[in-house]
Amino acid sequence: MTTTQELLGQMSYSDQAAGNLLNHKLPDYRDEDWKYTHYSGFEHYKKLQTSGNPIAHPPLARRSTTPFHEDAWIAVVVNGILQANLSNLPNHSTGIRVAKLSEAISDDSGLEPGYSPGALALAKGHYYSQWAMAQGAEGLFIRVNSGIVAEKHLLIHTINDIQQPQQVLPTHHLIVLESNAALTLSETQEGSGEGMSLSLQEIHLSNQARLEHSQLQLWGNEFECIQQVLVAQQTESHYAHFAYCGGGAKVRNQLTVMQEGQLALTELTGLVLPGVGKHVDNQTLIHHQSPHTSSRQRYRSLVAREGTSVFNGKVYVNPGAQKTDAYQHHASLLMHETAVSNAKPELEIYADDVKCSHGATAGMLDAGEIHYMRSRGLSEVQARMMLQEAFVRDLLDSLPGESLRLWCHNHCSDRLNVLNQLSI
Amino acid sequence: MLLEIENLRASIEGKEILKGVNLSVPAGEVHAIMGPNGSGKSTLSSVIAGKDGYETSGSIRFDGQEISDWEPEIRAREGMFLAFQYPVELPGVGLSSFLRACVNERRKHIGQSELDASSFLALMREKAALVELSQDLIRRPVNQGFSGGEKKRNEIFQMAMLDPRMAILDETDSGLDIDALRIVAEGVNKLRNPQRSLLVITHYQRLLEYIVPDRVHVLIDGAIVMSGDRTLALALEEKGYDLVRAEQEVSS
Repeated sequence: MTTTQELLGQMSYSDQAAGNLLNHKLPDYRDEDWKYTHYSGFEHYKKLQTSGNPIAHPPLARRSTTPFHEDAWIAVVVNGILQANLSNLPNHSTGIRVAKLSEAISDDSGLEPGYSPGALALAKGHYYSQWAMAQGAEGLFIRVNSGIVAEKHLLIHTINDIQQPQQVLPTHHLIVLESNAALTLSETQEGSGEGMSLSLQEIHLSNQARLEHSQLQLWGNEFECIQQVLVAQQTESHYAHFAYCGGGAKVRNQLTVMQEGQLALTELTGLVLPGVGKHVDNQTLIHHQSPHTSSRQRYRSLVAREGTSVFNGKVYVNPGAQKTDAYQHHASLLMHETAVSNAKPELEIYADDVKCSHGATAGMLDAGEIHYMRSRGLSEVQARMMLQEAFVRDLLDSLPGESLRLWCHNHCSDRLNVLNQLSI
Repeated sequence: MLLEIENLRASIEGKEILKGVNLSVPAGEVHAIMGPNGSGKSTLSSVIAGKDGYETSGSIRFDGQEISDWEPEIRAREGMFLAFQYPVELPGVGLSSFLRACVNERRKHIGQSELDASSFLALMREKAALVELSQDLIRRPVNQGFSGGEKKRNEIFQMAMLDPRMAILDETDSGLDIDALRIVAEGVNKLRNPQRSLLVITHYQRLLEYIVPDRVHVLIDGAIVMSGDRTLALALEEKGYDLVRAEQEVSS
């Protein structure tokens, strides 16, 4: 007789995810977490799903260069598939491996049981993440060996190249930093046309590992995105995440961090700039499971005419997680009276010796401030931009690396300039 | 005539505040406008500077050009400066980067080249000394954490930086202690020159002891009811607006 456990153990994570899907229904507005952002057309979309083989066309070649981190390792990923010929990957001697997820699974190198694909997402993944796994979504496997501090940044260029409208492109990255390893990882995410990126990332940080993770979303105006990043942090590990939401028609980012080890530290920073009439939803969950863990969340949204920003930040403190120190703040600046910001902080605290604080603000620029600036010679757009840039400057300044900081500053300024012209 | 105002009327939310103001300020002169609370002094300065929200009629000519329809920033770039009665705090906007943008907009507008960082810094140091504004304040966001006196000094500092042809000082003396008043007034006096005119709006005669006006106008109930030389300000201080007005009516 084999037990259910053994049976499950023999099933691939894809099969298990497919099984999980049977118990999930497509989230809709009746689900609290999805009430502002739901994808009712998804059932239709996924029927149109094709194998997603990329068409290597000439514009892709230029992706192998980058405007920032001149000296970075670069992984170019098209429709989930690593393009080794366009990439500049760390070689074996660096102690850092960047490979196709499927390769890592088949050669089984270093995929310890706790770090296998689905280890986090089978339990914690939402409907769409289960679906991505059930499809056997391809992606990257990144591992930094124990004690290795990466000497260069790693940059992932993600390009979604749809072949037909309403195509869904799933990707699944698995990132493992072994004990005392450190890495700075930046991602640019691009896609245009009426497609959808479905992105799942599972990240494991062992004891004292440190990951600085920036995600720059540069989706086209019609493109949609559902992303879930799941992070498990062990003792004294440090996870810093920076989200720049600079595009997309409807974007849903879910960031779930399990602080499993003591003294784990998490810093989440988000800069959200929905386009005119567009929708960006960021959900965070920090689960303080061990004592002396800390988290710090700062999100800012600048919402253009008829745009919507949703922020739902949850901090959950386990009964045993004494001395937790959690801070969360969301501020939104509405650029037009038709802009919408929905912010909801949620604190669930089951320990009695903790420090948890949260705050949220929403408002528009002050007409008196704009008048003062105009009366000194600045145009209305100049005045607005100067105030808006002041609103986000400290967030941008916390980005790792001068060139990334500068690039992001410039992208943000250009975007604000366009959004202001359309929002006055 | 640098500034010529004719039959200027202004109302806000249906309430008429200015009821036909006539005023001419030649280049190089300092004119003072005095008047009781609620007479329309601040409205007059706001309307000249181009603040939104007023229904206006009449004419405002600046160096011969009709500017009534100009946006406030165009007036500023042309050389009109308003020192605010209540200077506004700009959270997170550094004073030097703000001023650099303003100065360069004005310079571009009048066909001068933009200042580079080092010449701008040198200019800032020079002008800050005029009103004894510390370098520490220049590094801060505009007016954030400034005391009342520092905000007023900062207005005159910005005026010095922007090198206007016409400056309107809206109750720059209010809220200043005696020392700060002297510093501000001395700063303003150093900025007087034969091409630049000043319109000084004040409640009190005291400021006019420091900034000596060529003409004094009395604004009551939205119109200038009398004008005279600086002795008019002394008479107002001594006798009050009502008495001076009554005497005026009797003599006319």
